[in-house]
Amino acid sequence: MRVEEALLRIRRLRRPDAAPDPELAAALVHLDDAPVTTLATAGRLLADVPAEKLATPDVPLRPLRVAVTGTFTPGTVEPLLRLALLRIGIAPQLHVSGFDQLLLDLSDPRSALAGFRPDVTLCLLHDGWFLPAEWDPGDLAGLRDTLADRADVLAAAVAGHSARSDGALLLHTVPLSPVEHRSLVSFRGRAELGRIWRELNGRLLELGERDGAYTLDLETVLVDHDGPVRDERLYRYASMAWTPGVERRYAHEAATFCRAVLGRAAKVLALDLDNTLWAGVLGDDGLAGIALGTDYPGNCHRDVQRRALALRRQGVLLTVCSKNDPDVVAEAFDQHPDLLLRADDFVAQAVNWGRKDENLRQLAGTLNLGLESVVFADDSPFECELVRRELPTVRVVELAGDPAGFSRRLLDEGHFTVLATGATDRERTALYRARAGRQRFAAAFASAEDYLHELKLRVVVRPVDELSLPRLAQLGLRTNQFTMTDRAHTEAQTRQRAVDPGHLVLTVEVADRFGDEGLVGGVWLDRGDPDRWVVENFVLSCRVFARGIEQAVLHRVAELARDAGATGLEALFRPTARNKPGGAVWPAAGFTVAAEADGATRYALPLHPPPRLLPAWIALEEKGDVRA
Amino acid sequence: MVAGVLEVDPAEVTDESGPETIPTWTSLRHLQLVVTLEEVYGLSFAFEEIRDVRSVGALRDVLRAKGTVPA
Repeated sequence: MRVEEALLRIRRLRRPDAAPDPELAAALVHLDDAPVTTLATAGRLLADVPAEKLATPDVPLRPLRVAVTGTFTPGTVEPLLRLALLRIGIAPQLHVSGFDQLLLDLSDPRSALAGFRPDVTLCLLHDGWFLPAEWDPGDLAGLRDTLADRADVLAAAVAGHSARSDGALLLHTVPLSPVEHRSLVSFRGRAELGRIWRELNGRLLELGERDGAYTLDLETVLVDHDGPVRDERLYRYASMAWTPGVERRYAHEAATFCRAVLGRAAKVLALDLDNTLWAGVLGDDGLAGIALGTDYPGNCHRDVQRRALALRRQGVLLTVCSKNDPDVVAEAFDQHPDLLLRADDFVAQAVNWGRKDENLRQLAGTLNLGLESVVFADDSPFECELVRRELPTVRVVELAGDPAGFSRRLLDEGHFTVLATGATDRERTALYRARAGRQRFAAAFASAEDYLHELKLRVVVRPVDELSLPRLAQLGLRTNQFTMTDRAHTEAQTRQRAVDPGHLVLTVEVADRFGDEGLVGGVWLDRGDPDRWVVENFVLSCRVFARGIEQAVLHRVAELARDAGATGLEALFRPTARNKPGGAVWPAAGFTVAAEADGATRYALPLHPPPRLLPAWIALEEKGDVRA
Repeated sequence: MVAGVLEVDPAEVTDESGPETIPTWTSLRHLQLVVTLEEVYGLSFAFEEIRDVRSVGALRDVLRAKGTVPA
């Protein structure tokens, strides 16, 4: 699709009587190579298009409230940000502040930004806000103190905002204008200024390590940006500190951050083999003929493997999707000395001569994940186009051109960007492989119940603690199937509930004879009315479906509520395109529909007599003080 | 192109159009218009030249003076 066609379709949608154009949001990637001012135009035109006209029933756009504030005039970022968000499936409601409103917006509880109640607050910073206009090049120690003071002021404003808001906040490191660098005449002085400036950026990075605050390392992102960071005319005339090109970069990074906040990062990387993981065609060139050593072009493909391995170590699931003979591929993974990836780095392999779209569908099915969680990387334009056409929700990385650029192409888009990673992420491949082992084990038993008894399942339900809280919040956000809402609690919301006596947040851990699954679920409870506890959300990883674990968890929740004197348990369920498995738990556990309103169902279960929900094959274990 | 930056119907834009006739032609949009013209025509303005331009016709004159013939 050409740029003009995309613009035309946007213009058409602006008419009040226009029919919806559900493919348009995904088609916005076709604007990627357009000049930045064209993108800004598209973004401005899209401001008037209602989100309903852009969404499809299969892949609804995620609503998100995003505020933009800055130390300079941030207004021109708005259209680029809107476009960048729609492009990745987020329908933003944007609030953009005027010139230098950042401190006021963050510190005043009655500011317009605070009233907007943003899910995400983007803070745009520039060097001129930190540097005094008349700084003395003869007193760099004094400059250092001044910069530290400015950072303190910013830190206090951020802390104030975090204390009042449960949204996420994004800061960034700030590049120093080369004019300041050259204002010093000595090499030693310039180096010292550089060090002082990096201390400031180090401080900004630190601010993004706690609460709901995060820091984008913009200085690093801009290293390969072609062009100046600021246009002196726009800066002097209108206090705009970034060129449109930098605004575009920032909008992309900020949109990726928003996707991470929503827990919508991709989870699976499906890799082609020939001319992707190595140079050459294994079936034709043989084991000795493929190149992946230390010389070009083999070293480029080896680097792709290195990046894929790094992704796996951070929790991304790797799969193979290749047209090849499975025995030959197995031999290569087993014997080739230069392969960095081995068979057990992959959770599943589709090596056959079938269609790749079908193979991807099956891979996603095996892993019990949606196709929107899958990134497909292939050097063949044919395969990429086939997948784009047949599976529009799969994210395609076309490894075209010189293989030296493959690693960058794989990573540039930030498909896998999450807010934080933890121990569970490192173990994820092993967890999924153990799951495949359980499936084989299941085949050896006559009945499912025999199998479940032999699994020797142990379930621990306990209050969330400092250690488990980030992982629980992440699990809540990334769970699509067994969840009660499409608006899971953010980390900050979970943290608030964890300390509030009117709420209780529980984690669910599972172990069996094959090993420890670790944290697999959680329950967010509102016990503001001590007589009727309300389950705000209940999430469970798809890894542990169909084992009665959800019943065991509800058994424990009912016990806790009863012990605290409650006479009933209620649960809220808000259906989405994919959470049918979650909603099914309430009728199955004996809950009945008490009310339906605003697209949500309220289920209720009396606690007298005490409900017996614990399956015979599960041992409910107690650890820690659950009454806390 | 002017219509695209100002978010109006291209049919509404004439040589006489300016900040007085098109409400969306704010000072911020004026700058975005300048940046867009620079990118499309591959040239660079001094802001002195462009700051006080008050209509599409005047924009056209500035571009012509720079040696480009706007469509």
